[in-house]
Amino acid sequence: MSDYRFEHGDEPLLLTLSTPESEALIALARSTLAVVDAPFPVAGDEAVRSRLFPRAYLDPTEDAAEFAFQATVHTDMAQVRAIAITSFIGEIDTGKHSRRGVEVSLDVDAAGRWIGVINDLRLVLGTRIGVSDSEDDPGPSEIVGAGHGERPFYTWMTYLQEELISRLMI
Amino acid sequence: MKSALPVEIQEPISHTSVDLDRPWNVVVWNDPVNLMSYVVLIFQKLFGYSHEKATKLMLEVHNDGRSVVISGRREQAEHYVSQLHAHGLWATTQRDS
Repeated sequence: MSDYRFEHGDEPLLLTLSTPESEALIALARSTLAVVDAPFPVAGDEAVRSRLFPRAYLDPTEDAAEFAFQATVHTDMAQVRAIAITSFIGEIDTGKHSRRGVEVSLDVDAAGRWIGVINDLRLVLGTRIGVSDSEDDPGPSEIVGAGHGERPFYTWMTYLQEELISRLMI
Repeated sequence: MKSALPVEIQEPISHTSVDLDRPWNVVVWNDPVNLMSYVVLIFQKLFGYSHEKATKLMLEVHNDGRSVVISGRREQAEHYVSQLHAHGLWATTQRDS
């Protein structure tokens, strides 16, 4: 049984992605998968890996507990993430392709999973481009989707995630 | 018969038993990426909190930089921290002070 239900009823959500949007999502998803699957931090992506797999203990006197925690949870956490990201890529790939782009049908479980994967993609890209709390929230007219640079694409993913969350209830 | 003088005996203070009683807090930290709506959703999902309680805790994270979202035994706290990490939230655990 799903953790979630749709606000609007049982019908799946139909999401239409332009070709640049779907390609950018898949590219970032594959890049995220590479970070998740790597047994050790990849040079240049240490901050991203730390953000996806942060410390449980800040107190350095608990370093032994931290080591035990990471040894216990990291592999399973990485595997669950990898499965979700792989499903996400597959759902875009197998969506209904047309000249407009690709139409993806999301049931409530898929919508819940997309919210989590898009959050991970935003964490990865946000860390790479140095997103900070002090940034102003852009208006809807500034949501230009993919193909216009990393920051606009990050903003577009933010609105996509927000839209999906608005459709779900616990 | 002579009566004994009262003698003051000082009991040794044991810190160990006091430490073991203190619960472990799960702290969620503010970060610039996670949406407020997402944090509320995850608090409801993981802890079974009402929307109101989840929102109150989210606003503490947002406004104060951190919030203690749940407490318990160390193993429970570590479990919740791992679940929060799996959902992209930045969480740590520390013994209650």
